[in-house]
Amino acid sequence: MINLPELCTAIEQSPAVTIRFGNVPLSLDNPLRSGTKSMERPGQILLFFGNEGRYLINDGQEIIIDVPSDIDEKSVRFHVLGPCLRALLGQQGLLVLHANVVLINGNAVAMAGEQKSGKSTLTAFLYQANCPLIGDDLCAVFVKNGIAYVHPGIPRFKLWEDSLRALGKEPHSSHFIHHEFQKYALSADKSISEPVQLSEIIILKKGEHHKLTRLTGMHALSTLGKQTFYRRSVKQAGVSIPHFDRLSELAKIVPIYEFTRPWDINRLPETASWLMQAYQDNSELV
Amino acid sequence: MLELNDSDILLRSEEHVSCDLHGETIVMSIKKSMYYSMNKIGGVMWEMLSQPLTFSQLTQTLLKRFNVNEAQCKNDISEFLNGLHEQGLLHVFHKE
Repeated sequence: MINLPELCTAIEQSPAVTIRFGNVPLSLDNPLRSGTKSMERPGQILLFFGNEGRYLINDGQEIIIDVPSDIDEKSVRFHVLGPCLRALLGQQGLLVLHANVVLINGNAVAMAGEQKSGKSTLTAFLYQANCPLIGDDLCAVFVKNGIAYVHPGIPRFKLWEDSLRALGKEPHSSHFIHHEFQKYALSADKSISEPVQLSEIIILKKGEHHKLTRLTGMHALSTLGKQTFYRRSVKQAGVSIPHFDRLSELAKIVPIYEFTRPWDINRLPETASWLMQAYQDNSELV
Repeated sequence: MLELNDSDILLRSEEHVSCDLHGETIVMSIKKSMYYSMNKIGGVMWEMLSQPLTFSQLTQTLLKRFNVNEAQCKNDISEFLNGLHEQGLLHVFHKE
């Protein structure tokens, strides 16, 4: 058995998702997409992690784990709570953005951007300044009655060593999230347990000054598309129509901004303050 | 370069998805997974191309609807249609 304390346990009701050990096939029949790291067919995604095992995700309801008996527990948690979870959320029809979500002055703001654009670090600074965390890394969005909502995610940050030190925390190898991926887990309070209305999506960019610029039309749509997981699989699996529809629906109802900021880890407290001030007086959110 | 005659029949391809966003018509080619943006007149033409029509019908309708010079209008429409054709978003049927 492996503990997954980050997830909620279903005690009195039937679980929304079952995660269990079992036999996972080496391949899928008639795949729509087949690669060295994954295969996909309607309702099934098979993920390969070399000598760390295989995982099968079924119909947005089940994750089956097939790993060597001597597997490191951290490896299983890393794969289940990362790639498997986002594949499962995608099967459930959710649009999954690679973003951190934080509550700023009552507004749920998704921070997206390229790898190493500082999503988690900036969010962690905002969290330290009393902005509740809604989710780290995975932002699962759904639209109901014309309003976009985001599901609360796992209450922890995944941070590089320099980010952790900038936050005044001492790195310790026991907090590595994976033995080959030297990010550290920093836990956060789970203060939000229900879906929250998504106010804005902010794309982090390198710049000289702090500035928020509203994106519209194709620029907004193509930028939003780049923040989703499985872009390649969407293209290859021929499921681009629902994906495009979800993206355009979200871009219509949630404002998307580009946020340029000085690229200096020592200036992150200033960046967090600037953003909180912008939400307090609404001066920059045009 | 696609040479268009007045009697050529035009029809947009089904291999796309599109939406209207903040006043722009955005079309994505399913085959190429590329986005294309159209302004107001482009959006009107894109809508008209959902049904088969001749090049002449398209140009005459736009000339009536928008106050533009005929030669310039034909030139701009040809350029737009060429772009669509290159991206696999337009079928052109030459009438015998």
